[in-house]
Amino acid sequence: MNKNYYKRLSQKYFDATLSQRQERRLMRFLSGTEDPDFDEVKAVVGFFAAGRSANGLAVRRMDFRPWVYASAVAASLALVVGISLIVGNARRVSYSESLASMESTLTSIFSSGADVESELSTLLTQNK
Amino acid sequence: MKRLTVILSALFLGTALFAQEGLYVEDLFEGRVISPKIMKQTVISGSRLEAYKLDTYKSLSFQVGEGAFHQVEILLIKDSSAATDKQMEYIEDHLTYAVICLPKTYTGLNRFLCFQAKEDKDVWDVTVVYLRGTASVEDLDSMFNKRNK
Repeated sequence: MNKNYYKRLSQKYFDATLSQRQERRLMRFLSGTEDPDFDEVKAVVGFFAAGRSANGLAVRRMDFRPWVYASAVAASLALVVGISLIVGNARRVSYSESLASMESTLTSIFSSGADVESELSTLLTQNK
Repeated sequence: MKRLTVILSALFLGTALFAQEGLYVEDLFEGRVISPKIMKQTVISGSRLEAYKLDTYKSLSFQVGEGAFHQVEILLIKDSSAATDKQMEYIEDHLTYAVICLPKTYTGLNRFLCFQAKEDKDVWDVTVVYLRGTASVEDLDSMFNKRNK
């Protein structure tokens, strides 16, 4: 790449006909050259870069409005409450299932053992 | 450091209180006798058991062969030796049913071990339950014995 090539790119920059790739290439070249022939284009590029930076800052500042904070907090709270409700409901369902399973197990155990009282009563009746 | 000691002590005390308090079946509940992979364990504790006059319910259900079943039987029989009251039923020398009333905890709570096993084609379907609370065996019987209703 020779100087003429970058001169041509500089000209195209002023004409606003550069492709993005060519613009990146020109920016890389300008950041490393001390050639005074490119001072003009460097000044213009620097001016626009400063302008972009200043605008970007302004836009970012606009994001810090109180309602943005309020919305963010409200959204976070809604998310936490939503998740808590879902988890709480799941736990309730799980607990009810566990209690039902416990009742079923204990009913099975306490209903299936030998009825000692009844057996003794039968034996005593038979002996009389 | 002091705070850490308090936290660790509380954790240790909580674990100790929750364990089966020196029972042989503790090995079973801890998965040291039968692989936890083949056991279904249910643990319920706290206020949800108030209606049943209990504070801890732990159950295990699993299916095992003769050898493993015999190991479980031994644990239950060992624990029954400390029982204050018990009902145990055998079929052909195999323990198939047990309700064991264990000595009370140092806080005065009743403890029970319940056991039920059914054999089908050399596979034993086993359920072991540990209960702790203020309920007496009569309370449990009236709550869960369908024959009373």
